[in-house]
Amino acid sequence: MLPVLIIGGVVLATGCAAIAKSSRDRKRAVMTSERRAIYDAAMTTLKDADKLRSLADAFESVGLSEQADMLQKRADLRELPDDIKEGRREAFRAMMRNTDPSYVNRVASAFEAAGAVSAAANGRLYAAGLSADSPENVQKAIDDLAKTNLKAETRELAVSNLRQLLPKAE
Amino acid sequence: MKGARAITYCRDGALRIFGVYNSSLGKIPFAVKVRLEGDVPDGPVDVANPPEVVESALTRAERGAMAQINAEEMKLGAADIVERARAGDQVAMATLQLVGQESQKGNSRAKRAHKLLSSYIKKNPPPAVSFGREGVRPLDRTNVALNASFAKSLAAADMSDWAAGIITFLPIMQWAGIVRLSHGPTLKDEHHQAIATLLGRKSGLYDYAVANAHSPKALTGATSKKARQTVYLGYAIGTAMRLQDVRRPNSRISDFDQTTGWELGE
Repeated sequence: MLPVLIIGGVVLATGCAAIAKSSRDRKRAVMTSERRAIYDAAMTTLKDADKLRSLADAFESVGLSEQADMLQKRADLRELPDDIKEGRREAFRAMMRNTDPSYVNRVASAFEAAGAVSAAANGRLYAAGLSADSPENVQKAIDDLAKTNLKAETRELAVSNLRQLLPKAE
Repeated sequence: MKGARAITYCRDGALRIFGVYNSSLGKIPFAVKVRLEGDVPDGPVDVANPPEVVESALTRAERGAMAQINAEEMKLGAADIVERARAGDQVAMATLQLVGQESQKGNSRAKRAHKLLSSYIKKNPPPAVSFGREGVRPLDRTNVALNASFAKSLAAADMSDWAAGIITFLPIMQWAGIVRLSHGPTLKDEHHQAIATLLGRKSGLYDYAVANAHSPKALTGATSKKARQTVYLGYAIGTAMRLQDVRRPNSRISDFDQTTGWELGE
């Protein structure tokens, strides 16, 4: 728990200042590597709604509306009515029960659009396992995994698992 | 057996070998069962130092396995030639023509090859090609064979056969295997017991990996290849169990993944 709190604090303390730091970048609404790192860390580790909203405002102020919108949605996740939260939990369980990879990917996209990136990443990883029955699908699954927001260690493990399924080079 | 990854064990008065052979054309699954003379306890067999009572059965079983592998390798070879010829490989085309000519002359080897080639072509007619879809490749045959063998193992009624299939195929099937395993029967103590029996004294490591499947970092300490394989097996089974658990009505999603649980309001 402590590392999460420390990361959350560092993300917020350095994040808002770093996002607005360069006036040239501000004008161009550029997603710099520094901003990308702050955004990724916030989306995967920051669990304080107020801090997420502060960051959303900072991203909005430099013209990065898409990222600001995602941070705002993530901040709102915990404040949804109980019945919606329960509905989403049941949708997650149903997604993990389903054996149709295209359905699972569609539900994962819906979770992603709602700011639940971990739920989406778990769905995509699961869908990759369902569809990995041919080299083409394994390669596609690896490509898809690279786009997800999984924790680095989980993603690396999943990608290395999938690579094992590819036929050896001649 | 050189080039093969296999598990050998006794069960109900029979010696069984279950494995996968790494041929130049891909992985070939095999399974052999040989009746034993005399009373032999159930359990894994150390093929490097087999008990005297199973020695002759082991030789017969290995011979049987090699026969299966050779037959399958010829089928894969036939499939390879046909697919290369379809892709425009001139050497493969010439080989097909030569096999046809020699077969008509009565050459017994060529007749056998002709039968295998014809059988493959009959079962796998050339795909209907339309403009814009020429690049679509057929399913990889090795993976099809592995998928079929893995599915058969998952459905095995005998717990030892099930465990032997899991130990053999799961490290090859990896993530796809874990997902498929999670859609099989609910994993219970009897499944762990069957695996632990076949793993013998390595089962403590296996149990540890099952319990810590949620934390891959805790599983990186194994140094020897065998220990790593055992740890991977435990991780894979533990992960399949976590997938089964999260699907249950009212399951606690945080037990599956803490961040996802948080996102969904737990």
